[in-house]
Amino acid sequence: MSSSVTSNPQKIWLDRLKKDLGIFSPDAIKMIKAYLSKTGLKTKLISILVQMHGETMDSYNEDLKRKYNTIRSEFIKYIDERIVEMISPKECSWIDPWLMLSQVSGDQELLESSLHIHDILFTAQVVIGHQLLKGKDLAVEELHELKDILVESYLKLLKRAAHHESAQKILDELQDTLPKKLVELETSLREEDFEKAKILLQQAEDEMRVSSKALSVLSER
Amino acid sequence: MSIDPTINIKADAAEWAGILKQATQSLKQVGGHQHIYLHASGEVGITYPITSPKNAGRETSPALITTFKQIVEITGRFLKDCNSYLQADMRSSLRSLAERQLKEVNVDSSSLAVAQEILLIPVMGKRKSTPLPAEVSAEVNFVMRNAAIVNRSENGKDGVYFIDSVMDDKSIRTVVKLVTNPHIQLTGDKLFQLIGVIVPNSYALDKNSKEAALIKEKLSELIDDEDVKEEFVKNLELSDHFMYTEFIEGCSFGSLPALNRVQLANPQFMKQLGKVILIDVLCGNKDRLAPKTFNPHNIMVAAGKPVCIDNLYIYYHEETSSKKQLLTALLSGEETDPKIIKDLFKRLITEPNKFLAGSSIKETFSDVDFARYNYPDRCRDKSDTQLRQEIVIASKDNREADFITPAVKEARSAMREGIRDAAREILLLSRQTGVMDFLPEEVRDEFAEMMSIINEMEETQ
Repeated sequence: MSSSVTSNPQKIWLDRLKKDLGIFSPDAIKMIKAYLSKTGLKTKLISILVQMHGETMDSYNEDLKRKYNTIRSEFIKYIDERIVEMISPKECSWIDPWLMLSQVSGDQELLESSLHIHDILFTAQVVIGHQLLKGKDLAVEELHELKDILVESYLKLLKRAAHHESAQKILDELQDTLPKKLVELETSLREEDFEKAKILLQQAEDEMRVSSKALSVLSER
Repeated sequence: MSIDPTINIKADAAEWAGILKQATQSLKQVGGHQHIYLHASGEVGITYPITSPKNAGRETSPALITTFKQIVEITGRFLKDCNSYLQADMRSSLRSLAERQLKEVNVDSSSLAVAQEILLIPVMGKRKSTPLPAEVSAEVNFVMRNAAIVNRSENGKDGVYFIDSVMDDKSIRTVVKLVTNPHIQLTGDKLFQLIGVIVPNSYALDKNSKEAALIKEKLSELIDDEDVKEEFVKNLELSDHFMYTEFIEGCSFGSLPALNRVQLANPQFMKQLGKVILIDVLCGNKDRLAPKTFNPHNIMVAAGKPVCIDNLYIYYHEETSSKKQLLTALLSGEETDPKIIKDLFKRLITEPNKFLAGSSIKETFSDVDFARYNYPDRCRDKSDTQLRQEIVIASKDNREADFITPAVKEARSAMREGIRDAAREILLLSRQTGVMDFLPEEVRDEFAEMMSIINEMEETQ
């Protein structure tokens, strides 16, 4: 069966990244650093993995190695999901309103906003899930930047793309709640309250999903 | 075709580098296995294997000593940049030899910082390049035209370059390195392939070929780092082939986390490693599992199996007897582990990083850690110092077994089995007509002698 999928450079490098995450030797790490920007990934989680790789070389601690391997597997799984989001956004358009509206309008900026948001939430998810103290600062920094860009650009972009009056109301609500949720998440991470952070992360994702679903219902009318 | 056995350069050390380069080129042209060596009399000697440089360092004239020192310095600089196949322990013994000889003639041995590099340089003769298969030529062309990223490996002193190329909807990684004599590696590769040890597919591309020109162009264009670029240009001048190699999706043993290394001490892996040891001994390759010059970066691990890289067949006459001794030691000893296995096991599994000079990896996984990992109950209430002392005492009393688990014993025994299996297999193969035809002419006698040793050992068991 011949493939009709158009060549997507980011996908090619993401596929390569999946393989290199499986190897993660010093040479693979060097190669990753050379092409990482070509993947379009916004998460800097690789730096934490590099740090952990160094630690596993020096340690026979089973927990550390398990954690390191699990994070690499989670990263590979995330890349798979991201590839689906990139090349077949329709299949997962329910995950956030940016992706949903990018389907309606075909706007590439909306798709990129969605990818950016999920990349950063993935960093937070890994740091929270594994209670990675060394990754806390990175997650906080990334969330902070995301919150700023969300307010300055991504939410406005969303409102421009949604024409329906009811849609504007849905987005007003999201505009009101999501940045706050991210600030709270940032604070709980800073305070190393991983339990609370886990709940807040879940709430942020739920809010995006609910908005997306609501927009979807409106667009079907 | 013969060559002038000696070239006198008594007075002018400055000419030495040029002459040596020329001599090296001539040797490669005529084929056969020769040595280039340096007499303290200021002569450069080119010998056939049968003649060893017995006269080195006998002259005492102050003028000659000065010349000698200059030669050492110039040659050292020159050879430092060359591909030298001398292994570390050989270098070290040559260095001691040179130091002893120079002491006799009152030369400060500190001037011999690199002399060990120059006394004996094995040069395997250049062979007719076999034409590159059309499909490989097409692949090289395609891969290089689509090359997007080039990086120098952390390992490989002569420069190993990874190339990522983007083609259609996927990326392909290949490995390229510069070599002076690809036959040394291709011979080693073939021996491993014969007994079923995985090696990456490699092709030697003549530096003057159109494929090599494309590689050169792309690497020059894509190497970002100025130091790496400079090194590449220098190596390019000194080498005559590109080795184009398939990339193995794996990690070098030396770059694996400590726990992975321990987990690989399973019978299947160790049996394969035993096979690797046998072939390395036949090849005289000490740049992998030899205890004193242990280099775990030359074993890749892919899908839980060892993959061997840099499989050099080292041949020079003086080494044959030590190869034979090692082979005999390796194949003897039914009940006790030959020392090489004990040493290797310790280095490979428990303290590999001690041997990774210059590596960023710190020493870890000491005997103490290993004991704690295997015997948590016995070690729980003891400090590191106490435990270390106990291990040292146990080892002196040949009671190492006190700290060795049945699993480790099993792994060692699997390694021994692998060595024997490989020996038997290679012996049987060598009896088949035509199978060993790939061996270069000059190594065939040596190889036959080693097969006789295996045959004798087989018959006595």
